[in-house]
Amino acid sequence: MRRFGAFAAAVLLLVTPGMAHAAGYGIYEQGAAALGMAGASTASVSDASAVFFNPAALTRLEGSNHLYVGGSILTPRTSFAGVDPYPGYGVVEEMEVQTFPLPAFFYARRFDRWAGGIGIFTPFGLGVEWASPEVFTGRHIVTKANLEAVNLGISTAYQVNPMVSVAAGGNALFSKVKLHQNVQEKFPPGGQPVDVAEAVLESDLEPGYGWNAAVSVGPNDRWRLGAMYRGKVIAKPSGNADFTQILTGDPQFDAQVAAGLPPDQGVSTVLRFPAIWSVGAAWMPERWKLEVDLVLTEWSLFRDLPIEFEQTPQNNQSIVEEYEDALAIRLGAEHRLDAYTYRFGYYFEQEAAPAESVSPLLPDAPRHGVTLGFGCGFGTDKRWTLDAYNLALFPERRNTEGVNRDSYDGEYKSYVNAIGFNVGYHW
Amino acid sequence: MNPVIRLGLAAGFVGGIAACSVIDPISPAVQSGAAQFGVYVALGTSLGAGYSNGGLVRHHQMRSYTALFARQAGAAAFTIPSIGDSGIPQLLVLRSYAPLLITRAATPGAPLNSAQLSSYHNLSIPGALLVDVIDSTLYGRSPLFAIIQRGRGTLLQQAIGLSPTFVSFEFGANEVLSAATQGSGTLVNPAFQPPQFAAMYTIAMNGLAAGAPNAELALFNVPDVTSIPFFTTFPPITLCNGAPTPLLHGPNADPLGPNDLVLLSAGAALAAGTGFPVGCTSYVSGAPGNGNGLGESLVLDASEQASIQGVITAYNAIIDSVATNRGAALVDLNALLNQVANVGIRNGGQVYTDDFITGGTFSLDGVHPTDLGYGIMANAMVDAVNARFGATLPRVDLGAVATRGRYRIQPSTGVPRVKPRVVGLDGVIRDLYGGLGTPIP
Repeated sequence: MRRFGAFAAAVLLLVTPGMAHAAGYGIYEQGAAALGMAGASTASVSDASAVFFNPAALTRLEGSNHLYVGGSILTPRTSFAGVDPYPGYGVVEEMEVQTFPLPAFFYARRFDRWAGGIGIFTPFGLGVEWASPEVFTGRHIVTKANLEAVNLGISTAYQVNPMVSVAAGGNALFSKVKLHQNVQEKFPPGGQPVDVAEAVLESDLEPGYGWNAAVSVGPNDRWRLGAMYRGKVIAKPSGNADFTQILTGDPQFDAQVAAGLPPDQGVSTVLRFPAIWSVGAAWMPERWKLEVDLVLTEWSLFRDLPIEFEQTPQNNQSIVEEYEDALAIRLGAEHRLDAYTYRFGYYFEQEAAPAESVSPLLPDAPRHGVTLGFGCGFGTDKRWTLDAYNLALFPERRNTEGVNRDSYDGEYKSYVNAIGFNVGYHW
Repeated sequence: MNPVIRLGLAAGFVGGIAACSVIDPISPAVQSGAAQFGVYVALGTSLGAGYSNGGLVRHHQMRSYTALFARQAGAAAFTIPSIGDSGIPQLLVLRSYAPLLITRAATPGAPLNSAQLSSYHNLSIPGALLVDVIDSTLYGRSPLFAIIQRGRGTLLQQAIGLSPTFVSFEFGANEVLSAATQGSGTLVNPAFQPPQFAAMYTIAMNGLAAGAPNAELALFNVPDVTSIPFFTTFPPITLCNGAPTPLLHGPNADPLGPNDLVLLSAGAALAAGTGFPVGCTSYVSGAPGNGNGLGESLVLDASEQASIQGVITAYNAIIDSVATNRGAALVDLNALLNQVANVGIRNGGQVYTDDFITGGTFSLDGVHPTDLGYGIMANAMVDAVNARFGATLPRVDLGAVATRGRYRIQPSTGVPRVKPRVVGLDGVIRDLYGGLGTPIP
C-alpha cells in the first residue's frame, strides 16, 4: 500500500501546489456538491466524497459503484500593510496572485450492508510567494513557501441497522515542504541588515499515518445526523538545505559571511497535521436539504516548525507557532428542481494562529465563506452527475497587534476565490 | 435564472471586487495630545483661504493650509466658502511660455455653497487685516467679505458661534503687504502701527478666550514679504551691451541700487522699455530702453524694505509674546519663508524655491503659494501643533499635493530664470489691498 500510495501522492503533487484555505493550512474543498453547501455535508453527503466528509454515509449511496472525480481551483490574493517600528507605516506588500489546482478522486463500492471507499485528495497545503522578493520587507522570514500534502484515505463502513451506520479507516498523508528565505546580517556591525545569503530548505516526500471514524444516523427520511473524526498525522520528512551567498560588494565583509555560512547539507523537520472533528444535522423536507455542521480542528497540535541541520546543529531553529484549536460553523442548503439542483451556503471559521504567529509565512485570519453551487444529472437514469461550485472567501483583516514573533508587524488583507467541478458516475 | 442564484452571483461579484483590492497603507494613529481638533476654525488672510493664482477657487481652497491641516487633524467638519471655476476674482492663467505671458481668465466663478446656514469653518478672507477680526468697518472694501463673512457679524463673533475646540490665527501680512506692494515703506493706515496691532491682537485674543474658553490656538507670525517673487523676480540691474547696468526709477530716472526691489507689477512698464537706459533693451520684451524711470510705486528701495521689515519684526515680537502667554502653538512662517527663499525645500529628490513660476512654491500672482506651498505651510503648522500639544498629527504628503490637480508645479533645478509679464496683476493687488486707508474707529 505504501508504494501505491506514494506513487499516487507523487503524481498528484505534480499538479497540486498547496494553498491554505481553511484556517491554518487546512483545505476543506474536496467535493463540489458539498462545497456548494459551504461544506456542510457531514450528515447528508450523498456522493463518493463521503470518504472525506463522512465515510459512514457510504452505506447510504444509491447503486453499487460510485466514482467522483474533479477538484478545485483556488486563487488567493493577499496584501500587507506595515506599521512601525518594522517594516514601518506606509509599507505595502503583495503576494503574487497564484492559481492552485487541487484535484480530488473518490471511489466507493457498496456490498450489501458494507461499503468501502478510497480517496486521494489534498486536505492540507500552503502556497506563499511574495512579490518582488529581492526587496520584500519580510524576506528574512520567507519569500516563498510551499507545503504540499496529499492524502490517500481508505474507509470501510457498516450499516448496523437501517438507522445507523458506522465507519473506520486509515489515512496516509504524503507531504513535503519548501521554504525560501533570505539570511540577513547587519553591515557594518550595528548598522542596517543586508542580505548575505538565500536559504532554500526543501524536504522529500514523506508519509505520515492516521485513522478516522464516523457515524451516520438516519432516524427518518427527513433527518440525518452525522459525526466524523479524522485523526492527526505527523510526518518527519528530511531533505536538503542550500545556501547561496549574496555578495554585498564589500570584500572583507563578504569573506566573513562566506566563512560563517553553513554548508549545503541535509535537513529535517516535523510537519503536524491536526485532527478534525465534525458533527452535522440535516433536515430534508421534500426537494430541500438544509444542514448545519460544526467542525473543530485541533490546531493546537501545530506548536512549531522545527528545522534541524545535519552538519551544523548550531543553526537549528524552531519556528514557534503555538496555534489554537479553531471551530467552524457551516450552513448549507440544496434545492432540487426537475432540471437541476442549486445549492448555497455560508461558513465562518475561527482563526487558528495567535497574533504572535500571524506572519508572511502564514497570515491566518478568521474567515467568512459564501458559496453557490449547481448540479445536474444526465445520461441513462442520470447515472452521470456534474456538480460545480464557487466559493468567495473573505478572511477578516488580521493585525499582528504589534506582537509578531519576528517583529514584523502590520495588517494582512486576503481574499480567496475557489471554483470547483466534479463529475460523478454510479453504476 | 433562479433568483437565489442571481442574488448569490451579484453578491459574490460585488464582494469579490471589494475584497480583491490591495490593502491601503496604514498611517500612524493620530494622537491629539493636549488639544482637541473636533471643531477647527481658521481665522486668517488669503493664505488661510487658499488664494492662489490671483483668485479663490475651490480646487485651491481645498488645498489651503487650513483645509490640509483640518484633514490631517481629523476635524469633524471643516466647511469652506467654495467658489467655482474660474474663481473670484478670476484666476491668472499661463497663456504662453515664449514669450511668457500670464493673463486673467475671462469669466469669474460663483459661490457654490453660499446658502450654508452656519458660518464657514474657514473664515480666512483674502486681504483681511487684524482689525477685521473685531471690527466690520472695512468689510465693504472687497466682495470676498460678502461671500465669506456674509454680513453675519464680525469674524470673531462667527468663530465663537461655531464653538471651536481649535483655532488658527494668521494676521499681519496684509498690513505690510498693502504698503510694500505699492512700493512704499509707510503703512497705509495708522491702525497698522505695531502698538495698535498689539492692542487689537490682545482684544481678539481676549475675545476668543471669553467666547471659546476651551479652544486651543495656533498663531502664525508674519513672513518677510519682501522675499516673495512679487519683489524678487525682476532684478534691479540689467545687462546692457554686456555690462551690468542699473535700472532707472523716479521722475529723475535715478539708478536703482543693487538691493532695491522691482515689483512684479512693473512688468508692463518694463516690457515697454521703461526703467531701461537708452541703448539698453528690456529683459522682459526686448524693447529698446526709453530712459524713463520706473514709477516709485513699482520699486521698493532698500530703506523702504528696512521699514517694512522693522514692522514685521515688531509684529512678530508681539505674536511671539502672545503665543507664550496664551500657551498657543507658534507657527514660524517667517522662518519657513526664509528657508524657501534661501535654501529651498527638499522633497522627493527635488528642491523647491521661491523662484517665480519655476520654483514650485509660489503661484502665478507671485504673492500666494501653490498647492505645494500650502502643503509646506500645513506641515509647518502640524509640526508646531505637535510640538506644543504633544499631538502626533501626520504631515501632509507633499508628493501627492505637488502633483495633483491642473496646476502641476515644477521644481526650479536646472531651469533658467524667466522674466515674465503678468497682465492683470495690478487688478489682483487692487482687489486685495484697495481701500485700506479708511480711518478705523
